[in-house]
Amino acid sequence: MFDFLLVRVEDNAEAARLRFLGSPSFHVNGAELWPEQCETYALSCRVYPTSQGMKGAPTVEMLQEKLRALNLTSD
Amino acid sequence: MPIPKSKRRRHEPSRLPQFLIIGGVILLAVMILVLKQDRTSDASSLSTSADMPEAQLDRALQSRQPTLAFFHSNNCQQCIVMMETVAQVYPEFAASVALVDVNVYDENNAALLKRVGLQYIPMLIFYDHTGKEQVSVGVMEAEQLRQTLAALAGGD
Repeated sequence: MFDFLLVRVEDNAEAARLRFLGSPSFHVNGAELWPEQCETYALSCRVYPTSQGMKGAPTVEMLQEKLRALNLTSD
Repeated sequence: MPIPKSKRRRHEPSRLPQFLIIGGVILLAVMILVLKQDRTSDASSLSTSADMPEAQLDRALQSRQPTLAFFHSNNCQQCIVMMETVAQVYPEFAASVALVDVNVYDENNAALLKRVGLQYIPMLIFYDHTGKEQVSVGVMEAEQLRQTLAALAGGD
């Protein structure tokens, strides 16, 4: 079982506090699924390199792969 | 006296309208094909590599012109805010600072995105006349953008 938590980041201060890398970002048990080195945190959108080029979100397959690697999938 | 059967002219319906319709359809199809061909060649001539953002950036850097490279999409909220700010402020500096506008979801810009290591949008990269860069991610206030561009234009 998983608990899902949607977090709305409202401003740059909150982005800095949460070390927010841009929307959408995915954390599992507090760990960023696609960690990046970042000097400053700001309200921004994130782009993900996918097999279909740059997209505004990871693909379902990318998410599944990350979750499988963490042994969190239900199957 | 009745006309013999063999000499009677048979009044068959004329095929002329049929030929005219078929001819018209063929002509129309040819015209559509020609027009389509023209449009395709126009589009390809517009997207020559010389006009691509990466080429624009290279040209500006080679000529040592201060440059703002603006990376965005057309649908993220922060990008829309930043597009409005750039549209409001940049014209004051158009004579001295080059603007390279990059839609990150345009596949033609993939090489440039890789080159700058793009991960977040909106992103602004300010290049001074030596090519030294300063990166800003997220929304920048209009006044801050104005000051940054002024410094860039002034060679600071």
